[in-house]
Amino acid sequence: MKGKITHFIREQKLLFITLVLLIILTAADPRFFTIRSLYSILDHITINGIMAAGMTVLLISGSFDLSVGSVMSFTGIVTIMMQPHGMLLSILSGLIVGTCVGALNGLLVVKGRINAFIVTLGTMIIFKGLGLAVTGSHPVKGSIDAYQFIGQENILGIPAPVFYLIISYVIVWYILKYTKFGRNDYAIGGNPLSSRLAGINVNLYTFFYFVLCSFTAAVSGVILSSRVNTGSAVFGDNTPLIVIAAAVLGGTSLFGGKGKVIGTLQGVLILGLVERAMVIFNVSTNYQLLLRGLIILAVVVTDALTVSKEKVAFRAGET
Amino acid sequence: MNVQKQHTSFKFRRSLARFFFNQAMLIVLLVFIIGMSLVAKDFLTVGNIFNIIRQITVHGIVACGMTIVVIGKGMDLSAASILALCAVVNVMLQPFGYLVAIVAAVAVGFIAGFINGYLIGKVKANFIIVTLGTSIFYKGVALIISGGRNLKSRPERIFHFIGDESLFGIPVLAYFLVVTMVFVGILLHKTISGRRLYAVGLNDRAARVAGINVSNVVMWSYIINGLIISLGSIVLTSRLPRIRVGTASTYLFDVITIVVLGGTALSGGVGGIYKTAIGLFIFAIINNGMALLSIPFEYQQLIKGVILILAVLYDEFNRRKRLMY
Amino acid sequence: MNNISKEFPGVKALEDVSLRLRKGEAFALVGENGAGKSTLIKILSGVYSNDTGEVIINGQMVNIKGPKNAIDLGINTIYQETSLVQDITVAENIFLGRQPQTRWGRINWKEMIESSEKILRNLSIPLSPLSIVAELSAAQQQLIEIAKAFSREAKIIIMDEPTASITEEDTENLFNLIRRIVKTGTSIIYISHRIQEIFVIADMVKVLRDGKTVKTMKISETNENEIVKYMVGRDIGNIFGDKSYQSKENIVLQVQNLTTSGMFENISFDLKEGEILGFSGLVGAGRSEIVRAIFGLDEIEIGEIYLYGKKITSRKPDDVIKMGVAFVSEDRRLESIIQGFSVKANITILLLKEVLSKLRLIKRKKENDLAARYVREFDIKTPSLEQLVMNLSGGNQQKVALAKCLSTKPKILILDEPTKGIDVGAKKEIHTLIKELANRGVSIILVSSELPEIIGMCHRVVVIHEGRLMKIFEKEEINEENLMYAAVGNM
Repeated sequence: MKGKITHFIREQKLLFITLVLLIILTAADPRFFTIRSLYSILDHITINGIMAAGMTVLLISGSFDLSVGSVMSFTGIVTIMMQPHGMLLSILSGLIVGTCVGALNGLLVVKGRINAFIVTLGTMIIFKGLGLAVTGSHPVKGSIDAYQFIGQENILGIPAPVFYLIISYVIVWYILKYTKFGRNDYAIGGNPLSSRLAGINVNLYTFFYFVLCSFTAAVSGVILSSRVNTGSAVFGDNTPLIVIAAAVLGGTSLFGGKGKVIGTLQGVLILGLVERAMVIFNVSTNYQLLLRGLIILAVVVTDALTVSKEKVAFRAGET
Repeated sequence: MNVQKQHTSFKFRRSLARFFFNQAMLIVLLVFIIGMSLVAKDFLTVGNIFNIIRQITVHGIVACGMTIVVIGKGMDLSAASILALCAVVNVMLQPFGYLVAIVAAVAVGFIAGFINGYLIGKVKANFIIVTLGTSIFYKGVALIISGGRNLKSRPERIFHFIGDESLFGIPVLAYFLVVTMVFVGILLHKTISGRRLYAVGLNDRAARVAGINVSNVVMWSYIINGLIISLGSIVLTSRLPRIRVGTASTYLFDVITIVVLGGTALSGGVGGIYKTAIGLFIFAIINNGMALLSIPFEYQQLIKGVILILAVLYDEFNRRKRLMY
Repeated sequence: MNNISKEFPGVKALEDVSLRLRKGEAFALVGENGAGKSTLIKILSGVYSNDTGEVIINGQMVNIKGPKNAIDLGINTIYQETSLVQDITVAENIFLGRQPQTRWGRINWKEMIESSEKILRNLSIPLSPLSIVAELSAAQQQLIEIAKAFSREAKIIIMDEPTASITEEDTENLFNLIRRIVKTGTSIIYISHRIQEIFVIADMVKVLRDGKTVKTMKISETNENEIVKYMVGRDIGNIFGDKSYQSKENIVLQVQNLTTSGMFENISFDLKEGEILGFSGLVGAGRSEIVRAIFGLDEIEIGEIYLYGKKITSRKPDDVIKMGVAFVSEDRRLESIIQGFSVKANITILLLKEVLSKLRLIKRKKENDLAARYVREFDIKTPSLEQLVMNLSGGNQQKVALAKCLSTKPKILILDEPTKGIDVGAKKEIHTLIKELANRGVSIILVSSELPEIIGMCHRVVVIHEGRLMKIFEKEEINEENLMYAAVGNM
């Protein structure tokens, strides 16, 4: 009987951690366990959450993308700055620009055969710089009131961001389970050579995984800029790390071939709860940074220790 | 670069040609110097040159440490955070005497480097994410200790001396930079440990078969990097009247740009202080030139970003070429 | 396949080899290491292209452009390294890249699982399509690979040493599967060193030696002894000179009961001073693993090693080198030299302590002199000391590796395939060198897959078969047939 319990805990350890966190938080502040406060947490994690879904897909294929933060902020900036031309056009242009960055990343990695770290580091810098240049280092204020509707209103009684979060996860879940695009993701990440021999166009798929990842970052960018009605280049500095950590926490391996969106969602949730816990316990912002760093380190070290040796050697070589 | 005396003159000429070809970056540097002096009228003045030296000393010192880590096929993305942390510790302990402050800063650099080195060298976790994680962690610690405030620095005379004075007409800062570069240069090229570092960077499997303790070598490369960064932090606090955590934030990309620009390969095993020095000067000139030309700050960042990417692409191109034999 | 020839720089891998495979036939390909078996099937699976000759499938000449092309033509190859995607299900692996879809483009899991179930049942493979591949044993994964190939309607399935790492019980399952497949009309080409197995499942057998066909015959018309004879029969001649000198009797290295599960089991032997001890056996038998473990590169689970009578407790390469042992790895490119270093740097890497000045810094002149001395002594052909080793020929690279190892004046030298891929001239030089070292009292363990080399150079020979020590042959007993017998598992 005891063996069964420990086995169950080990299998569902994320769920367990989530429960523990919820209990701690409720104990610390009884008002925590209300619908409103729970919704507010989901609200906060939507931004990172949507990006994490896209990142999960890319991670499974064996790559990663450090530019998501910059894409998010840059998309927000573009959207806000295009508002004089109409809301629909502004949103569209933001999404297109963000997605194009993904295309750029994909092209350089697949065709240019440059490794993902360098490429996405580069695009991260470029678009952060571009964002700064275009805004003159000042945040830009949005001009259309209706825009705020996207981020701030309720749809069917649920806060809009929560709605988007659920939809995006359902979509990504469906893609990963029921489409060739998704299933081949696992194959490519697990054994790219076999996949190629089996006729899977590894290059094309990888390209589109980069596009998808940036698209989710663009969507997050639109939602974020709508919520605060501002576009600024400083958003998203720590984002790639949080998003990747959430995915790895949720069971996606940095080495590719493994991952589940439901796990990523749990990862995002846990990180969000930890953030909220830090606020409730009045942890100063400085300590928060420290804690975040520690969590990321712990997550990554655990991933490194649980993966087979050969994959580690390959990754460490990076060439 | 050492040409054997008994070779025929034909081989001599061929090696000479290869020598110049390898000095592509040196030529770029010369081109830049000439270009800048034409474009910006105050460029080649003594005052300006000293200015340049003052601006890049800390960058140069940190770049020396980064060079060590990169040769060992790694990178320390937490360099800026370690710099900030050491600087903050230094400043906050200055009321207790400058010796205490300096020793503390060095100790912090050692510990930070040790944490990085241990996780990467012994636990063998991925260096990218480890140093990204520790960069957040060290920055957090720095923020906690300093409370996020600006801190007033250099009450002691020695710091004034380092930061502002000149010895024999050359800023004291320059001596620090040169001494660090010479020291690291000797370490890399003339010691057994340095040779082992190159071996590990080029081929860690063969290094292991040759009896080199790879995890130790990697660990120590990060530790020494931490120590060098702490030295840089001492220079930094000597230069600036006020220190806050954000001061160091641009250093990471700048230093990586310097190292890669100079020709030290990100894939390990290739490079050295000479190359990093060239990268440093090129970077200094670009920086200074953009300031002289009154280019707005955001565009400067953009340009520097583009330069980094180009430098990295060039490095990648070289790597492919090297493998083509 | 008709008149296939294939040449690589410096060596003729295949010369005028022909093979006729009938439908529903199990064809065995045997030969010692380097005989050309791998090359032949690599041509068929599209990895290599043939220099001469043609490949004809079902009466039509084909030009196999690459591995994918081969698969499209119905030729599936199963290697020793698994080609399955580990973290997904069996069903997905069988249908990799061609998952069945519903009308709306959605992946039809139900159909995929049912079809997989059917395939597995037809082949009597008792595995569930929903199992995750990573949780299956190596043998089970192999069965899945065959199922995958079969489901793609492969005409020819090539298996390279399929029983190399599986148990007897699994081997039985594998053979049953092969028999079932063959009955449906699929043909199989089967490479194995286990001659006994060939008699269980094959119909025809072809023996290759030195890239040429020795004999092709029906299994029913031959026996094991005959096959082994065909595999090794050759004229060695006296190219190695004679080994007139005797090794001394005192033991310098003693290895007892070395065991690491999965790699080698219960290895015990002695090494005498001044002797050349050969390590013979088939590729993959575990010889490299054993010597690497002795040198300290890999872990040993059980067992003791005694050096000069004293037990070794610390087994890291660092310490072992200090105790006077040197090791030249089989993987020259990645392990025995550092490609990006100059000749000079490679030679001196172990001896830097000797070239230090008073300040403990490397003195350039001292280093140059030291390196130059070795370059002269070993006759390493290089334009300068600063030349990068990657630019040297294979033979010279090996000399650099040897110079590096010998720079510490070791008493025990372990050589793993030292003359592999080296031209004849350099080979002779290295052989002469090895003999000279033995004369001077250095004890040498020589791992080699070339029987002539072993026979010509060694005083005694240890034969390893599948991780076990078969026999240690004394001087008089060393000949090709004995060694090959032991190597394939006979006593």
